[in-house]
Amino acid sequence: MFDSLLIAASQLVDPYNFFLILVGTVVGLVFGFLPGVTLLTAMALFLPFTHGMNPISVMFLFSGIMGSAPFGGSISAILFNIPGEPFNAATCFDGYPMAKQGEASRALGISAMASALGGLIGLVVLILLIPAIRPILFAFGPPEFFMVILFGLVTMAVAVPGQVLRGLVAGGLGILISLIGFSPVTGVLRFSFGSQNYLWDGVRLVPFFVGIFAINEIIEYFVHGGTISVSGKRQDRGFAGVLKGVKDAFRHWYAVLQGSVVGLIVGILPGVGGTVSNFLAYSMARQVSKEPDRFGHGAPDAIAAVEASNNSKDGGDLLPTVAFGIPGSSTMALLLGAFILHGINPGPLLVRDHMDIVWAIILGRLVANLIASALGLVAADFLARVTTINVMYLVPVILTLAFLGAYADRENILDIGLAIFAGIGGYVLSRFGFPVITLVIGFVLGNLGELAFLQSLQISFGSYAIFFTRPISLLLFVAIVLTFLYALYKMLGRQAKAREQ
Amino acid sequence: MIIQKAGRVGFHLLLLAIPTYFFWSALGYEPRARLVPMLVSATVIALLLVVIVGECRKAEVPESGQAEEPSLGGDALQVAIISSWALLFFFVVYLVGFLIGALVFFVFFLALSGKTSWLMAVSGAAILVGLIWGIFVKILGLELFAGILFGAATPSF
Repeated sequence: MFDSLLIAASQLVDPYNFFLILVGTVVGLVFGFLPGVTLLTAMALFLPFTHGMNPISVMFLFSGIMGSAPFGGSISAILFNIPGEPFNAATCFDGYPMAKQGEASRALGISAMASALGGLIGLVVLILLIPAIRPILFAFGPPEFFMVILFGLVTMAVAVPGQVLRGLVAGGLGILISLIGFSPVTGVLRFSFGSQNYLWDGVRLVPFFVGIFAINEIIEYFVHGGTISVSGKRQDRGFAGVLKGVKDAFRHWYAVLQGSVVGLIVGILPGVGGTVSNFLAYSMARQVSKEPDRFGHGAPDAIAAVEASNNSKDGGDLLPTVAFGIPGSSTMALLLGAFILHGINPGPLLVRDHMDIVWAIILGRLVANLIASALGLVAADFLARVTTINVMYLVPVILTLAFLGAYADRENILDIGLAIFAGIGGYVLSRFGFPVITLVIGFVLGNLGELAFLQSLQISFGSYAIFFTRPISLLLFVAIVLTFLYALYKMLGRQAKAREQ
Repeated sequence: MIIQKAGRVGFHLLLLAIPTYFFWSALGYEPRARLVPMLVSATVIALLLVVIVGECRKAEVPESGQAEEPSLGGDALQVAIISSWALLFFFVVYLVGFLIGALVFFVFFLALSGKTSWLMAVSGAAILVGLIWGIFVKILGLELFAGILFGAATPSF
């Protein structure tokens, strides 16, 4: 094992390979930053150019792209409320409000540091877990996954003080929107509003997010005018803000650790994806935070948890990919494609015969993570200046970028219409007190939850007891009940206090 | 105040139509396809009814110290204007394509809403469209929508 590590390390210090990581890092940052153009697009675009390259060099290039894209996406999420990648959506919840408070540099600082730490934790655990992955994979079946999803939803809904009912309604509406399209179990086209083609595979994630986050925010800009930073000034001029953010990431080490663990676990589960880990990390961080009321208003621990999960999930994602040849996401599927293209058979034999390749991915990702975070820290102060520009100049630019982002996902003009519809709908809902956060979480987790729910019933031949007889599932159910009881206790306490006053 | 309250109740009733549509449609699907949608939509309908009853029972004038009820309030016109801009931009892109559409939108928006001079608006638009063309078309190879007036196929719904 250490021989292969030495081979990969010696390849890493080769100037050509190091240059490839640098190229990959810059490409990943740019593709991550641009909304609608995904990490997957970057890898797909570069795959043909790797023909004839040494497999280890290819892995260094792709590691660079994979290691930096999450942070690139966080930059646009923090500065413009546009998630560069779908898995950056939860960064908008607190990163952008922090930028509005004139602390964009601090938010970017937290993001950069938590990304580096999350990536590091993910990769270290990956190294430790490669021999022990099998029991972890088997411990999490559909009932456990369903309960995790339910837990995430309930946690978010009850965490909005005074808005529990509206939070649950918004979450429910999000789930219903996610059910549009063909049923994953029966194949029946559902709730298509007369569409035979466009809504076949449901409401697409990218245009929905572009609408809910970017167009929603453009409306807000137009209505209130001024600058993104509400005061029109930056509270954190110079490098001080960035440094404050870096300190925040260490101060909230627990959020970083928790986010990393969530990212890892979700990353390991095949087919779940980074977006889910992002939202689960957010809702769990809120659950344990000392100041849950600050969530949604620029909470540093929220940004730290989300960013750590974003970067650690790839460590988890890599685990089934390299150990079994089972890709956990489309990005990993493409990486497997690269393996095959270069004559490497993925699966258990990869770890035995080509451990140097596995090490190359791990080391490449580690270096890319560090370079991306360092670049981010250096550029944060400059990037934060955008928050003091009059929003009337930003509206047409961001609207154009939002349209491009919605369209670029699959080059369908109707996706722009969907984004506008989602943006206006989301804005009106939020103005009537329905939290958009739970709507989005319901949307992201809804169809996955339905699939897990129906699969569980299939396993148990229709018996609902399956959710309460498996230890992890039961534990999660108890956690859900306790969360509800805690929310009820808090609500009754508030009402009693109001009566006294 | 009465109008605002009626508006809030009206909005919630309108919202109620969404889960009702899902519940009604789900009735026609086979059991496995309708189970989750029916469970979720029934729950949302019940919760929304509680919210609506709460809205109806609320005092018409908020007591002193009580936060104002959430609504669009005086911002409705501004929301309508920016929504119209977005829809107009979409319509222009649909007709004449992305690049010309972005140019037209950028110039008119900046000149009319951003209150900049026409010269500044045209210069800004030219730079933005140039960047879109350079990055998205030339480098990333994205095929931008050409507009139905320039031969782009009408997308099927």
